[in-house]
Amino acid sequence: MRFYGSMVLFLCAWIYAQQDTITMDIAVSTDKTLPIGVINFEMDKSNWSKLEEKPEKTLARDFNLSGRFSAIELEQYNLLKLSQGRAKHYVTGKLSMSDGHAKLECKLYATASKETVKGFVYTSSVEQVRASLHKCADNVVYQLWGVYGFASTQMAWVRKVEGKKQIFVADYDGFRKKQITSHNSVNFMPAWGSDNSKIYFTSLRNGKPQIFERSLAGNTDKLVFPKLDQTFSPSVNPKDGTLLFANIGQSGADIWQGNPQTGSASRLIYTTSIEVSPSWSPHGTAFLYSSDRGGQPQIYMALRDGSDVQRITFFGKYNESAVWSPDGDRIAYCSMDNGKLNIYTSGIDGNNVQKLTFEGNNENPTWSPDGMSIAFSSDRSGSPQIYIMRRDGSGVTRITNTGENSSPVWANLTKGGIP
Amino acid sequence: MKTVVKVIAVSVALFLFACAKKKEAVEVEPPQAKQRAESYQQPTRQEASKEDPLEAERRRLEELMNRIMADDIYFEYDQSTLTAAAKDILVEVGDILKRENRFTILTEGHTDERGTESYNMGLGMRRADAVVNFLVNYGVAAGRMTKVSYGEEQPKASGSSEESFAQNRRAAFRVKANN
Repeated sequence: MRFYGSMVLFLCAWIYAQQDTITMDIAVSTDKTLPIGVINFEMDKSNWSKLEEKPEKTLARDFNLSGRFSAIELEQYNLLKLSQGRAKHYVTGKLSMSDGHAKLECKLYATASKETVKGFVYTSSVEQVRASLHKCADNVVYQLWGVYGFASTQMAWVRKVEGKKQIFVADYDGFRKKQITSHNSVNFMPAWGSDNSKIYFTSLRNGKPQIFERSLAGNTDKLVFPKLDQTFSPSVNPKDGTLLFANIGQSGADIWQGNPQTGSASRLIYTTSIEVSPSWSPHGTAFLYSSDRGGQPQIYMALRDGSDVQRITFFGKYNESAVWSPDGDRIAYCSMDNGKLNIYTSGIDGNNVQKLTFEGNNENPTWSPDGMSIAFSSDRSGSPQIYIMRRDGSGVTRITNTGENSSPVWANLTKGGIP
Repeated sequence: MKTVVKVIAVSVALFLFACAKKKEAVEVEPPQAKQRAESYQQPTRQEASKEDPLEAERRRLEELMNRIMADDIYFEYDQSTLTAAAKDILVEVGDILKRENRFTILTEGHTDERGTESYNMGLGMRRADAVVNFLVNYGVAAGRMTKVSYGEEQPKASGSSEESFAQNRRAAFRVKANN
């Protein structure tokens, strides 16, 4: 009798286990980070008031945001603390001025032996010291991980100026921001050109949504598809620079592909439903988009010519604005639950869903060029601001503090970022 | 009752428009129509005196029509189906448009701030589509109507309350008088 009882129990458990379940991890750090010491820099007595912050602060933030390191910040070398924190390496250096030029010496040391692993020297104007520190951080990533970091990259986003949305470009950590658009209308949905020399964006300046191109070296905006009526949400092919975008047709919105040089364009995905938010795969061979052909927006994938459409998301009623990770193995997207948007990632087959955010509305995920981090906008503090988190949702850091900031898009990794 | 007021208003307006073609200038006080959104710039008296009186009159009538058609069409959350109240307003709008061929209309589709920017652009257009399709079926020539989506970018009411959201889920009209 007891045997049958346990049989029944076993069967129940077995049947339960057979049911389709979707695992969802909450955002605790699952990726290991490498501890690294950051020791205060030696600074000569020159006037450093033009520096936004002490060199070690910039460097420590770069390490923490890299998704690879956790910085142990120390005023001076302390073997005990570095060992307790399991930091096998530390970085420190010297900042001095000679002939009006700032000289930044930055060295990576082995903790136990205090031997130099690699040293870097940069000479620049005081204003460029920050850029040199980012280069140093990238070099340390390269020394210890063998890959290119993103500390020297930029980010574009939408910021409100006198109540109007304008496109801004800044260092990825939010510093040194510069206003790009100034037309007194709504300017939004930015996307970087494949070589980072241009920004594509949508503007309502002509009374309807239209995609414009802005060269960062110039100050004029070019209407990209003059023959089309209403276009928005551009995505740039990383290989050939062509655009995918949404075009409002006779019924709903469709996905189109076009050449921003010639202005020619053609339809790729068209139904009577709403198709928006196209996003190229890392090599431009396929793309993601959202469609509500099933009633509510869900993420789909198609090959570059619009063929072989597959639905990716099945969990949740409202899944939108998907972006492909640089390695091509995962997607990040927004999902609405209980009226709030949150950021999720999943495999490209839609499995292995991970919820990354839990507070407020969280939108517009964008991957760092190495896929280690995700930037997004969130209203968790009461106003929309930009944040960066590790790809597992841990280490959330706010990078904008004033005004209203949204829709971040990370620039591409430029060639030859590492000396 | 409302319909009657509107039809009278339109008749008065059109009568005056016809008169304006003969007379130099006519003072038209708009009837007790609702105050329309601030975006309509009234020509100042000085500007008006400089321009062609007929043109001034055309603009005045265009403004009057915009006030008459100031009622927005409201939608349920994440929906683009027309409610009974919406259809009542659209019948009035359709009657006015059928009566007077000189006017063309732009239908704007708007959403509340919930959901993503991109999807809301699509949803705004779907709302404009629903309105225009209704009017076409009611007998208004499709060629007289254009539509645009502003998604969540041009809210009528600010704030994140249910009341604001309800005000912002709408389709609105902009009327233009052709010469």
